[in-house]
Amino acid sequence: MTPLLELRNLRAGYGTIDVLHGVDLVLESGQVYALLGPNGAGKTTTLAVCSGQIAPSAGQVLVYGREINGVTSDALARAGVCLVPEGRGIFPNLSVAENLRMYTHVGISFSELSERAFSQFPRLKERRRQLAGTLSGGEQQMLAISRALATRPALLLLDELSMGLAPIIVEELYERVADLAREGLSILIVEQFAQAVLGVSTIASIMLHGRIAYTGAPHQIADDLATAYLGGTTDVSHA
Amino acid sequence: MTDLQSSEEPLSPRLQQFQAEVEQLKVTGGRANPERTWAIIGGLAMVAGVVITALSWALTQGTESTLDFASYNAMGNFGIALTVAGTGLFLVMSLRRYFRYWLVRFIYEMRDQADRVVSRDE
Repeated sequence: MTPLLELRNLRAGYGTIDVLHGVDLVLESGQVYALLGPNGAGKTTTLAVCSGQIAPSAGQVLVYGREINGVTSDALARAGVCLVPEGRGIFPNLSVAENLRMYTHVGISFSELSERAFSQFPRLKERRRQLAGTLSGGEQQMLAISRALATRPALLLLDELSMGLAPIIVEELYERVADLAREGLSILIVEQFAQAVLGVSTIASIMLHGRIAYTGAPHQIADDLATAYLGGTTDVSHA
Repeated sequence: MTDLQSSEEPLSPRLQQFQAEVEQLKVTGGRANPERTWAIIGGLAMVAGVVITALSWALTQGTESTLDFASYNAMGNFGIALTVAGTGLFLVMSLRRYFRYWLVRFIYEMRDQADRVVSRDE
């Protein structure tokens, strides 16, 4: 079967500086793909390319075998590629309900959207009149995920879900992610802290210096993590 | 842990819809940093224009034929036009690159500031 998302020898960066130096990645339908790596490895840039925010300088981005280089991020979002960015991207000076209302432009009614969000994250219901900027980090992340799900994504891109959150909150969020995966949603997760994500992923890669260095089953990657982060060889592949 | 879908399993209705929408997407084949390419083309046109103008001026010095002179004159005018167009392209593309960088930097700093205010109020 043709993979849902495929990156072939992808190169991209900012201005004249390339950050990705030939990334190859294959995400099948229904998979949860964990993309791990230290700071500056190119993980967020990879997501930016997948979501159409950055055009690649070389290589191909394929969705169901069709090259989508140059497609705008709004067109991709409308089709069903949804990014939850690092730092959540919520409107801090709007209430929870108003933040949700901002996503009704995708053609979903506010009542349906809020019902869906509150059933997944009941805590948001209690805070619906509160300013989003005054929510805890975990609640902000819940809001960001609820908003993303409003678009009924086919591919969800999650960037550093655990950033700045307590381990117990991270665990709770990843339980929700696992629920989404069980419903058949394909998810590409970028994480710096591997332990949180390896439990829910079906395949994982370690990214170093703008390249995929290791790919394999999560338990294999867990064994290779220390080597990779501490500067081991980059030619190991379990794929 | 989530089970992988088997390769023979048909796509869900949502994924079929997604696939159909992706097929309809308008693909421009966009490449990163088009301004840089156009700025280089503008710069080259600018240099080529100056060279053509100088060459046509040099050629007019040695000719006594009015027909040749008219040809060199046209060549000189083309060189001047190429220089002006190349300079314009180079300036516009350089400014676009600069302002795009400035806008990204501005958005980044605004976001950073908003995060700082929010974390201070928490």
